[in-house]
Amino acid sequence: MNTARVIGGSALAVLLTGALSWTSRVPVTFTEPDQALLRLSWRLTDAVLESCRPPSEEELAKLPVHMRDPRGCTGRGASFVLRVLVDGTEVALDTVRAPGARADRPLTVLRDLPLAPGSYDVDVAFTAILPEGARLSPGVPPEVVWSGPVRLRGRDVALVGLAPSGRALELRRPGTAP
Amino acid sequence: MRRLIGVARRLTRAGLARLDRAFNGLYTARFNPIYHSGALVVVSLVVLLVSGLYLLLFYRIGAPYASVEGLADQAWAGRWIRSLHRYVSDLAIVAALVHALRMFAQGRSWGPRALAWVSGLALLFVLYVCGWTGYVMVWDAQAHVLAAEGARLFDVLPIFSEPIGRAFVGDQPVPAAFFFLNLFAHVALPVGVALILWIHVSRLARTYLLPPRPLLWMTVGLFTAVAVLWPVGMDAPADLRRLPGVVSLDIAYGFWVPWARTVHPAWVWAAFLVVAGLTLAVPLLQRPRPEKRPPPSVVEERFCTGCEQCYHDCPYEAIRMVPRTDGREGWVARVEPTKCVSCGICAGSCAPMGVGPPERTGRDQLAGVRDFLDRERPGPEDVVVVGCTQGAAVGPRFAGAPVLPVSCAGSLHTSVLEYLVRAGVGGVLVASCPSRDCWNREGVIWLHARVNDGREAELRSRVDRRRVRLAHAAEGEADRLAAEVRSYRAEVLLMGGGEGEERIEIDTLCEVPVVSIGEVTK
Ligand code: HEM
Ligand code: SF4
Ligand code: SF4
Repeated sequence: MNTARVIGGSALAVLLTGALSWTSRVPVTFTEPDQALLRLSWRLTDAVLESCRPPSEEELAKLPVHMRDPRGCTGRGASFVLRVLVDGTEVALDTVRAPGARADRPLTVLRDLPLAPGSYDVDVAFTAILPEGARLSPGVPPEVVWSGPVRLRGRDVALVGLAPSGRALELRRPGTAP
Repeated sequence: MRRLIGVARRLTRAGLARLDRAFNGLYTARFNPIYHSGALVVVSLVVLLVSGLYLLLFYRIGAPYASVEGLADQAWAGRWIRSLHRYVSDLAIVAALVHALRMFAQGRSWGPRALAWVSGLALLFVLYVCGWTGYVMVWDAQAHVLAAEGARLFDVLPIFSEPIGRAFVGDQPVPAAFFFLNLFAHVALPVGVALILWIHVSRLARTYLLPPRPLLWMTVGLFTAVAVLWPVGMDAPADLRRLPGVVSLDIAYGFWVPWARTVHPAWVWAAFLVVAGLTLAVPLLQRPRPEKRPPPSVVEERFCTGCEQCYHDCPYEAIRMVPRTDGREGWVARVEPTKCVSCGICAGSCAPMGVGPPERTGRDQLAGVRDFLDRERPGPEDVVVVGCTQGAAVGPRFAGAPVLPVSCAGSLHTSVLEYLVRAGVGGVLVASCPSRDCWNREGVIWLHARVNDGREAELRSRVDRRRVRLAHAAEGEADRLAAEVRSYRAEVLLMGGGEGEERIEIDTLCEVPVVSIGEVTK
């Protein structure tokens, strides 16, 4: 083995090992300082729409004894409308349906709305769609809202979530721990 | 699509030929790390296992970041073992990709090799997921990105009724159960890797799992040295209430994340499905059309003496010894067509020339060499190059040295060499690929053993050894081979021309073992 080969081979080996090690920590900018986020995240349980139509005597008689409910109520997961305004401009308007094959799973919202750093007036409303004759299961508010100012610095995430009472939304200030 | 795969294969093959040439020049073909890429993955797995066990002692799911930080602060061991673990996890991915590309370039993906191909992809995938979970364990800025991106991808699938991404929005601390599950996956997946590796090599005889010692220790030593001298530090802890800014990303595992974050997850899944589908379809796309497919080997039972040599030599365990049914005593070889890759190595094993793929048995090779001599009429001072069609001898012409192609140097029957020498050519130079580059794994090893060490079917002692030369040259080393041919030709000229015999009788005797392996494995 000649000297040039040994030197060349060793240098390349060191270089390749070094390069491979460097690739395990390449600085990558994921978000710039001029980006920020308004994030909506909450979960609403038991939001069931009940429709009741008292059955007739005959209808009741046809049912097995344990299924005879004189109120004739059936339930299915409610749908809500999510509406977000930023400085009066609508930035989101969606219908959120209860997931699951029988639409009986808790309603969840997880939405990221990118915003530039700055101060904004934000209105978030989450309103149940109530067909005629239907009502929401007791204890579930037909609407949860939050309105207020949001100040975002670069890379801040302002999180709007459900307040512990479960009857309103609230803002967790950017950067504050839960 | 077949055409596209064909073009990709040619390009990969040309690229690898250049790399091989450069690396052979620096490290010699014996220690060329590209030839040992599969074995280097195994070395990486062993290093990962050992270093991982140490790291596991210190990891706490209740305080993931703090516990890793504690490791990084341990000056004497934790810091460099953690770095070694990390660097070698990259080596594993890169070496596996090189190994896969090599198999792809050589068309070693279809037929009986499809199992190795598909399980190789599974290995790569599991290895990847294992690395991914490893990075999440640290719970630093990179972990935040990887976890959130992973969640975003799964949340578009109709699997979970609630988006798992909500675990990473920062309104609640990430539950310890998540870190427990992640750790469990990180520790359990290597068991899967071991299992799949076992399947991966299950069709191969004498699996070659580790590289030569010097290469092994050089690799471990170099990575250890880099880990000691240039250990990885700690990124900022994951802060779910802020967008990740500048993150130290491991490219081997996170190369696609910066792109993925800018598009809808459906695109990422589409890209994944395309890559997975294409790579999984390679065995079908590379498989030659039926009329061009090399047929499996067959045993001509009337010639088979039951010597077992082909049974021992087959690199794919495609030959069994079974009791004879033709009224003779003993055992006979039987090829299992579903396991045979048609490498032809058994043709070179069989002294009585009773086995081999159709038209490539010893008998066919002898008929071919007679035609070759009639056609080329090499003189007593000429060198005949017997060249493997995968290596450097294919294509170029060497002055005063006609080329007799063989499908693999390991399939060459030594009677061909004997015949050429006894026919009076000046010399025979067998140009094979470098040993670890053999497309059929063990062709070059058996060739050497047959020519130099008396392994059946050995080159008979009556053949003047000066008139036979074995040379290795990778596909990209035609110029080096040409130089070897020139220098051998000069030697032949010095020793004087070959002497031809009028009637050449090739003897086809071989030794039959007293205790048959067929007996033992019955
Ligand atoms: C990720 C971890 C992997 C490891 C540890 C690994 C290791 C190995 C080893 C040790 C061998 C035997 C080599 C020999 O004895 O000649 C082998 C063969 C093979 N590998 Fe892998 N491999 C991996 C991934 C892959 C991948 C990703 C592919 C392709 C997609 C692949 C395709 C093959 C094929 C086709 C063979 C059989 C070669 C033949 O039939 O001649 N491997 N692998
Ligand atoms: S190598 Fe031996 S066992 Fe195999 S076919 Fe030839 S004679 Fe039979
Ligand atoms: S050609 Fe012969 S040596 Fe090669 S795989 Fe088939 S049986 Fe085995």
